[in-house]
Amino acid sequence: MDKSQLQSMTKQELSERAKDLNLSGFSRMSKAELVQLILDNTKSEPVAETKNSRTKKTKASGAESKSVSRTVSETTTAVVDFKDEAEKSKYYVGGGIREQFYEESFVFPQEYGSTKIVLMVRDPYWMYAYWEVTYQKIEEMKKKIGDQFNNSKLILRVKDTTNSSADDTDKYFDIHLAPGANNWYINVPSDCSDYIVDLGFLSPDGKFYLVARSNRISVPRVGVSDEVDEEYATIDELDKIYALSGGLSIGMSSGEIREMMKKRIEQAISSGAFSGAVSSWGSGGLVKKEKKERNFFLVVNTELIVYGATVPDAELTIQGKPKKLNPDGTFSMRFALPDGLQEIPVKAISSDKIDEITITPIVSKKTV
Amino acid sequence: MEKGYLCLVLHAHLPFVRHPEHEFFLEEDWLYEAITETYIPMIRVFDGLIQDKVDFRITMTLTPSLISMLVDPLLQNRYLHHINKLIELASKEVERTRWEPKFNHLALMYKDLFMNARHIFEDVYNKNLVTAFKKFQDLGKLEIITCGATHGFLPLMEINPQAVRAQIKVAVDLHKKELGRQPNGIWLPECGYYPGHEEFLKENGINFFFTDCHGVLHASPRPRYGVFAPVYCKNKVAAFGRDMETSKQVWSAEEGYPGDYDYRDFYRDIGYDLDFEYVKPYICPDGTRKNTGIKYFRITGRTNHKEVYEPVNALEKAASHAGNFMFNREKQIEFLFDFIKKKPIIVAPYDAELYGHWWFEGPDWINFLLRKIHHDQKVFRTITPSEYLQENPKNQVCRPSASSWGYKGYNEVWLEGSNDWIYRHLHTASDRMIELANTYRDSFGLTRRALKQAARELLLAQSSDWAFIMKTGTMVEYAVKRTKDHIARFTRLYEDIKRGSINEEWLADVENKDNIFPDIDYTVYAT
Repeated sequence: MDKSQLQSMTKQELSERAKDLNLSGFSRMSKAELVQLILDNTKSEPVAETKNSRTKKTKASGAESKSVSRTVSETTTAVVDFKDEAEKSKYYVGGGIREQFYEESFVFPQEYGSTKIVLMVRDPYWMYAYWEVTYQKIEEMKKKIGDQFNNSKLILRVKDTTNSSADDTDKYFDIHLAPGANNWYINVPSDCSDYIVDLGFLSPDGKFYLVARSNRISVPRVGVSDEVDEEYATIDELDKIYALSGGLSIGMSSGEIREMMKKRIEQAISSGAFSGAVSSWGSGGLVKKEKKERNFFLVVNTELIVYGATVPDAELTIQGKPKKLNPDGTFSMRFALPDGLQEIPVKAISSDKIDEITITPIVSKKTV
Repeated sequence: MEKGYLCLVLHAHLPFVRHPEHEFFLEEDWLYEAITETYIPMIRVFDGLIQDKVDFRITMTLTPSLISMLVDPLLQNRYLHHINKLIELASKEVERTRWEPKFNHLALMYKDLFMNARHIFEDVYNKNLVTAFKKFQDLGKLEIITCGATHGFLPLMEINPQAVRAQIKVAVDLHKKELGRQPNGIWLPECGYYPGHEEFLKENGINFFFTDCHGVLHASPRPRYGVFAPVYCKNKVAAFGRDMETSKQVWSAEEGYPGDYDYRDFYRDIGYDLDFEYVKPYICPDGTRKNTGIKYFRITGRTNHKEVYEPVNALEKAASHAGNFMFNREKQIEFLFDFIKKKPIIVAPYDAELYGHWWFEGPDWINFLLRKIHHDQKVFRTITPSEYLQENPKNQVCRPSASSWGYKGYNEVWLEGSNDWIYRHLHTASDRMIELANTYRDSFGLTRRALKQAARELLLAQSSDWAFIMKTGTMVEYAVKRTKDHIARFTRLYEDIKRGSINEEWLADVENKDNIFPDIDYTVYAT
């Protein structure tokens, strides 16, 4: 995790991370201090000094021997959740990174020539907005704002419109945008709410000039609904069934369960520990600190190639098993060669069954 | 009388990958590997169960993009070529390993498997595996449901409801054509549900969908039976929630079955392990090594050290894992039945490609499981959602919560730093497609062809697979290429149609390459 990634996290997320690293004394730190603290404590671990050396000698005598090189396709990493691994495996066929040839000679547009802002839901606590403002629109805004334009800032005004329209709501906050930004992840204060985002200029005198208004979206609720269909069940029953569905132990009060589930989900979203918000298997501890396996290795294999030629229409057997000849009468076979002694009788019989020749290479291999 | 139901759902999906312009194209291996390792083994299992008169119910998604590839003659013939090469390699392996009995045994196993796969593919089902699944459907064993046309992640299309509608309508049309009936249910791509999308399902005759556990559990009002009964949306489309317990048994790193040390390792492949000259004819033509499908080692442990795979031990493990899974369902269902005074339904959905491809013994596990359920217990039976709804038509009405089955349960997998840039383009293309459909409601000739192709390009660009791959980091370049190529083609079509000058030669070429949904009705985008 590098610095910019850390900086994009919320303070709460950073605190979680610091906790994971068993750090202390961070609760009063500023965000920048926290980032530095985490960076200082996640520098690559020191490398052990001892060298492992293994010697193994392979001897092959009596015939041509060929060594086989092996590469390990992927270092095995600690598998936290098979689902991710398995899903990925669907698209994994090896083959490495290739340059891709684009079929179309086409320059991907950075902009499409219309002023707009689009809002999307990421999860109960985060939204994503992207936007585009045309040159004409900027000119128009310049005229509207006048002298103050150069000192005005482009901002996002994030409005909670759960109970009112975007024009009437008094629940909003502003995000001051970095110059040149055209998209932003927005951390929202409350789940289960509706939001609209206005993109606009904020002048030094505090006036807001609207450039574009987004669509309205609803971020989902964290945890269970407060709404209960009394005809169907009591709260107590509902809590039990909830616990069963999510694999919690039964018998907690509704308040406790709700609090616990909420905590779990918050943790999950901020620390990224599990998929599926209420799984019991996601409960903590999934960020594993696997011991690093040392990756140094040596593999030596031996193969044996037996090849030769005879009359094209002869019958050939190698170790008693028939071998088809190439059209020109040649043949070639390769074998993985284990330790020990191999006798390899190669027998050719002429098509009229009159001539017969057997040649038997004997190969011994020993690995020490 | 049984006390509850188990609803096994296998979601079979691959994005549409077909490159007639190249002799060899690495990513087509996704399909070929899945055919050899998942689809054919599952067909083998189902055929065996039917032959042995074992009653079973499975629900399976066949996504429209997967169906389109399975019925495509070019890909069918390429698969045949692929499996023939594999048989050739396996035969060489049988010879090469003659002096190493443990490996020789495995080489023979692979040779048998590949030859049997070719037999099933070519001789039994005449190169079209969709007919195999249709057969199981018509026998009443398999409920085949549909998915988004190209597996577009619907919650992130919210800004263009017509785009959501099109993903569903185009899917249902193709499903009807290839499977001969209206799908009664749908697997929302990545289980991605956004409140209100049930309207589009209803419009298209779909009566149920699935959500992740919290989709139903966080519904409002609180669902009386948790995830152990479906809830109805206001429009009476049913939502079935995923059971966490069954999911945990298969997926969990700690307790999950596929990680057992006796099972075959996925990564060690002879395409990487053997001498370059020897494997050269079976890897990429440019000499880059790739997987061949022949893998000789078992998981062994958490390190790189691997020991030789022993199929007999693995099979025994699969049987005992199936027994364990069944036993846990019996206990779970007995307990729930007493508690809720109603037969619970346990919904257990998995990626189909988990079985066989990633978890080599997965199809055997399913085979053992279904046989055991049929013969060895009376507590529950397997059921399809359609049968469940027929038997249990009364269900609570709730509003399910937005959710997905991706990492963290919402939309983040498909909306994060690596892939958020695509939405600007996807949304603009959707707006433009709607504009085209509204402008050219009636069209003919070249314009009509161009409009249909534009709709195909948009749909192909929307596959959630591209965003997923960008995030996970394998084959990223290809995912970027696909997104860009389709958006590029779409944009050119859009501009050409509006200008009234369509290059026929170019259009024909693109039609030939992206030939998915030949009968597409582009007016689905009209508002």
